[in-house]
Formats: sequence, C-alpha cells, structure tokens
Amino acid sequence: MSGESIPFPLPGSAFAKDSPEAAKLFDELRKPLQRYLVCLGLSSEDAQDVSQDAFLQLHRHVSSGGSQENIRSWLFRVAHNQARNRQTSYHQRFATSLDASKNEMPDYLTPERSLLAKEKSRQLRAAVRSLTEAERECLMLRAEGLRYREIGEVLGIATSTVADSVDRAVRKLAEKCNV
Amino acid sequence: MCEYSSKLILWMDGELTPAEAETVDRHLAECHECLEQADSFRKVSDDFALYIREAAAQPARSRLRYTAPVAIAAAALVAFVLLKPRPITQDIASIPQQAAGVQAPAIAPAKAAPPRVRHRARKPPAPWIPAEPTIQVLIPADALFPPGALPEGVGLVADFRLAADGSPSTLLSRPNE
Repeated sequence: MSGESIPFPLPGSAFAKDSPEAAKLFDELRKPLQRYLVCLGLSSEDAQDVSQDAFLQLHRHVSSGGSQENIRSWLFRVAHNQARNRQTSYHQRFATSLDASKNEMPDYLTPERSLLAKEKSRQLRAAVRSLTEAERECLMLRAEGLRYREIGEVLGIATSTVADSVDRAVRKLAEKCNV
Repeated sequence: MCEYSSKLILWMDGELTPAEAETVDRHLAECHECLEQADSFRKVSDDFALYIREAAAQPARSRLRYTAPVAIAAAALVAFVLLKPRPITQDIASIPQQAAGVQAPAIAPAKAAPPRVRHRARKPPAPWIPAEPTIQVLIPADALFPPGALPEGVGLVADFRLAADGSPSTLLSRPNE
C-alpha cells in the first residue's frame, strides 16, 4: 500500500477523468490487471484495492511529469510489488506458508463451470503447479498480452530470462497436457 | 529435434526480428515437425489463457460486486427458449401495443396464456447455490432457421451462466417437452 488513502467514487476515476487516453488505458488494463492479481493469489477485494491504488499512483506519476513510456509495465510492476508485499505481511501475521499460498492459484476451478474439458482442465492444473513461481508469473503476464520486455520490467528480470522462462513453461505445459 | 524448435515460441510471440521471423516462416512451410510443435504450443497457450480467465472469474461471493455491470447482460441471456413459431406469434399479438388495430383475442390476456416460460430450475435450488436472476428470452424458431429447415415440433431450452467477465461459463441444453 502507498500508505496514503484517497477516497474516490469509482475505481480509477481520478485517473480516468483526466483525458480520453487515460480513460481508454484504464478500460483496457483494469481487467487484465485485476485478473493477474487474483491469479497471484489475492482475494478479489485485495485485487481491486491494489489495482485502484496502482492506477492512482500512475495518475500521480503521469501528472507529476513522470515518463509516459512503458505505462503498461509500470502499472503491472507497481501492482505486482504491492501484491507481493501484502502476501508477505499476511504471511508474517498468520504464519501461513507462502509456498502453500503460491499453489492456490486456479485450484477452485470446477470442471462443470469450465469451457475447458474436464480432463484438459485437470491436466492443465497439474501442469501449472509444476511450474516455478517465475515461470508461472511470466506465463500469466504473457497471457495478459504483455511483451517479453514488459514482463521483464514488471518482474525486474532481464528480457532474455523472460524468454527462457516462457520457453520452459510452455514446453512443460505442452508436454504434460499432451497437446 | 529440429534446430528451429528453440525459436518457435519466440516466433509465436512476435519476439523475433522481422528477418528471423521470416526464416522461421519459411522453415515452417517445409518442416512438419516444427509446424506440429508450434501448433501445440499455440494450443496450450490459448488453453492457459482461458484457464486463468476462468479461474479469476469464478463467481465467488466476494466477487459479486464486480458482476453488477454484467448482470444486465447476464439477465438477458440466463435462459433462452426456442419454441415453435405459432405460439410465439400469439404471444407477440397479445402484447397490447402490437395488437392495436387487430382484434385482440378476448381470451388471451397475458396472464391467462399457457405458461411457455419455464423456470430454469424445476426444484428449489440447493441452499448452497446462490440465487441468480432468471430471465427467459423467447426466440421464434423461424428467426433462427432458414425457410424449409424449420424443425417441426422441436424445441430446445438452453441455460447459460455468464461469468464475471461476460463469457458463458455454463451451457446446458435440453429438449423442451
């Protein structure tokens, strides 16, 4: 959290009211960002909180003359770090295993609600669990449409490391899912 | 394994230089093994994307507030009933505005019409299933089938449940007896 809390009526409205471009960006990125946060293991309330806060910080960043390049990775990076901070403080408070919480991701997916076939969904869940945390994060950001360079900026790793992680992760999934 | 295999995922993600991408393009035109592999990488990537969307869109209680904007759209599609055209025409004719100038049948007030609208669940839902708004949309069969292809006497009831992101997460169809 930024420590400072400014109430505003709708998520990101402080950010979005500034210009049509900002509103468009907000519309484009809000859902992918919240989805990514939920997949990192945040509750939907926390995901909404963190995403609002990230948009607010982006608003401050841009209005104080900050660079407008790489906005997408800027936003995801701020949100990613906040999500990790929250998980760490949760961990310290309740002494739960972070490793266990890492594996929570899509476990609540029930086959009858899925467009994926039951068997495929099961295979995929098992395969996703076999990925390392970095591989999983790279893959999730990639699925939200981020380029390798952006993923590297979000996670603070080199683009070539992203490429390696994505390559390993996709091969693992393909192998375990027999596609 | 083919030497190009290591470039396939980069190629698929548009992370190669145009010149490199072109060599992979050319290679894929003649290497069946790589083509199959690229196809499987693409499939599993698509599945993964779908998987995390479904996972993140699970309608948990705490996520209900996100669904408000979708609720209107969802309400329109929760159930979809396909019936023979004749009774539907009667239904439409019994709407007062549309029946203006037409002799509205005295015996066809909306409430007295035979119940064609079916409730999605015949039994009361189990207590752990959250109550959902159910609206049924009647679509005349002749609006969906070309003339001549109209299935005579066949009806279908399809139930949708929309996930928070608007994608249909349940589709169940059954004959409409």
